[in-house]
Parts: sequence; C-alpha cells; structure tokens
Amino acid sequence: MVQKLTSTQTELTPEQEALCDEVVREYIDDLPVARPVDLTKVKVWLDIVYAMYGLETPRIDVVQSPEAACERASSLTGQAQTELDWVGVGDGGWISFYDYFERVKVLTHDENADVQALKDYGRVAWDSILLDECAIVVARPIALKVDEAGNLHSATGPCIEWGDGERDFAWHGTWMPERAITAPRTYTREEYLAITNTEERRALGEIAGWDWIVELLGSTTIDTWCDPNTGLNYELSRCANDGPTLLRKQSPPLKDGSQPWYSEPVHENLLTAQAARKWQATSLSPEECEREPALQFDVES
Amino acid sequence: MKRLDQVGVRVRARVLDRVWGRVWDRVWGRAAARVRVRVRDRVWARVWDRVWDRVWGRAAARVRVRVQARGTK
Repeated sequence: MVQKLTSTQTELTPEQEALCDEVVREYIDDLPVARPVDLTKVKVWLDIVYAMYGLETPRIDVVQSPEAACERASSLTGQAQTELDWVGVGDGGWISFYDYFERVKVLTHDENADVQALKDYGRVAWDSILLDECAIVVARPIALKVDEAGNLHSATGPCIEWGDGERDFAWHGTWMPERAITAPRTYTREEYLAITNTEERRALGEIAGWDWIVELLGSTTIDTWCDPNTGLNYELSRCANDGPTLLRKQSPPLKDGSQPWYSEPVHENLLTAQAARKWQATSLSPEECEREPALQFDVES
Repeated sequence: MKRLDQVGVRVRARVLDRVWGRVWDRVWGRAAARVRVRVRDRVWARVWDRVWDRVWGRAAARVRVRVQARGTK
C-alpha cells in the first residue's frame, strides 16, 4: 500500500516514486491492447459529454478507423471533417496524472469519477466525432506496436493497423513511408536526397544503416570535430558527382538517454565541421564561419 | 446534422481542469509558505515529469496528429 501524499511532504517517498513508474508502465502497456468497443462503457462516458450540451446521447455509430470517422462525419454534416474530437486514448497523460493522485489519496474515487469514466472509455474505444444526432465512435486499432518508451514503432511492418485495413508505419515515433520500413535499402541516391523532413532522413539512416547511406551517396568525410564544451561529435562529408555537402551531427542526450545522429545539407564552400555547425546556427557566410568557427556565447540555437 | 462545438475543449474545462484545481490546491496550495517552492519542484513537478510527460505524446497523441495531417481521403 502506497503512503498517502500529504501537504507537509516536500519530496516523494521511494514508494511514491516507484508508483510513478508503475502507473506509466500500466498506461503504455495498455496502448497495444486491442479490445472490442464496449457500448455500455462508451454510453457512460457519452452521457457525461452530451449532458454538458444539455442533450441526450443519440444513436452510436462505431467505425473502425479515424479516417472512417472523418468520412462518416463529413457525410452526415455535409461539411468536410478532418479532425477527431481529441477525447479518448489521447488523454492518457491527464488521466494517468489524476489516476496517480487518486492512488496516493489526494483525490477520492468519487471526486475523480468523471476522469475514471474517460479512462474506461479509452480502454474500449479510441476517440470520437460527436454530432447532435449521432455519436461516431472510433474502435481501437486491431494492432499497435510501440517501443520501450511508448512511441509508435515497428522495425518490420506497420506500427498501427485499424479494423478497416488502414495502416501506418513509424520508426521510434517518426512517421515513415512503408518502403522505408520494409525495403529501406531500395532507396536511390536521388530519392534519399529528396527527403526534406530531417527526422525522416535521420530515421532512414538508422534503419538502413549509416554506413550504407555513406556508400549510397558516395560521400567522403572531409573533417570531424568534437565540441569540447558539450562532447557532441560532428562530421562534414562531401558527396560524389557534385552531390551535397552534409553535416552529420550528434544530438544532445534526449530524455530516454539516446543520442541520435542527424544528417543535414550545408553550404558547399564549408571546409570544417566546426564552421559548418556555426553556419547552421547563424546567418554568417561560409567564409566568415571558417575564419572564426567558434560560436559566440548566446548565439547557438 | 451538426457537430458538437469543441468537444475536446469542453471536456478539458469541465472534467480535467476541475480535478486539476483540486489536486493543485491539496498538494501545493496547502504547503507551508517556506517550503512551497520545494513542494512545487519536488512533488508536483516530479509527478508531472514522471507520469504526465511520459504518457502524454506517446502513441495516441501521435496518431491524432497523423489523422489531422492526412485529412479526409
């Protein structure tokens, strides 16, 4: 039994700290669980919401994907609907937060009853589009895969599949085209360089392997540099056949402790990795950056 | 038929924000003045970072963003 959190406490106890992890794990572990829509629990929640509008809960239509919900709502309203209500599984952050405070007895169960109804709803449905005469409820996906941190992720196939066949692909939370996951090494040099989304390009480098990317681009490392202040590494490379000059740089540690690498095009006149870093962070010319490559205090973005 | 106006906003205001005020008052508002900063940083913010931040923004929130970006086919 976890100790009650009191107003005289200035730190969480070790048990209360451990409960944080327990609650988080419970919510993240529940994300991939496929469950059929339970209309009894759905109705409990919808009664609360419709009462806010002074309405009775109307007929409930269950659809199998967010796209299907948007289509149904567009058809029923006669207007293009492209957003869900943003109420359901996506509220997990808030629900888990209040769930924690209920478990440490800051809240009573009755005080947290509506939040618990929302939690129960999210366990059997994904989200909704509510109309005055019809509640469109989206069923949970039939398959959902996440990494250890809870980000959508699958290294071998779709990360999410809906009951009507809709599916999507992601690499540690970054949306990817299907081909990048299932056949990453089929990309041509031109296709790789045409990717403008830095996160997508980084993810493809991780999936296909940075060595393979270097070989694909025919790039040669012309300079490396380690920032003595941060310990972060930078690599400047030139691609063959008048290809771009790329700065490959290491991210500062993220919350999960990882330090992913990013590869971004920089000006072809740059000669050193340190100057390329400065060129990215300032509006100075390549020549000015090469002359004085150290970043001034307060300048780096 | 008509879409209900701003369901997400209303749910946050009528359900989630109400609980927020109650919890905030009990955890932080009743702390003695001399330790309030410490309670805010080491209790309230700690639970915020360790629970809310780690669950929010994971799979479900990302799917929402994806749906918005794709729109209706």
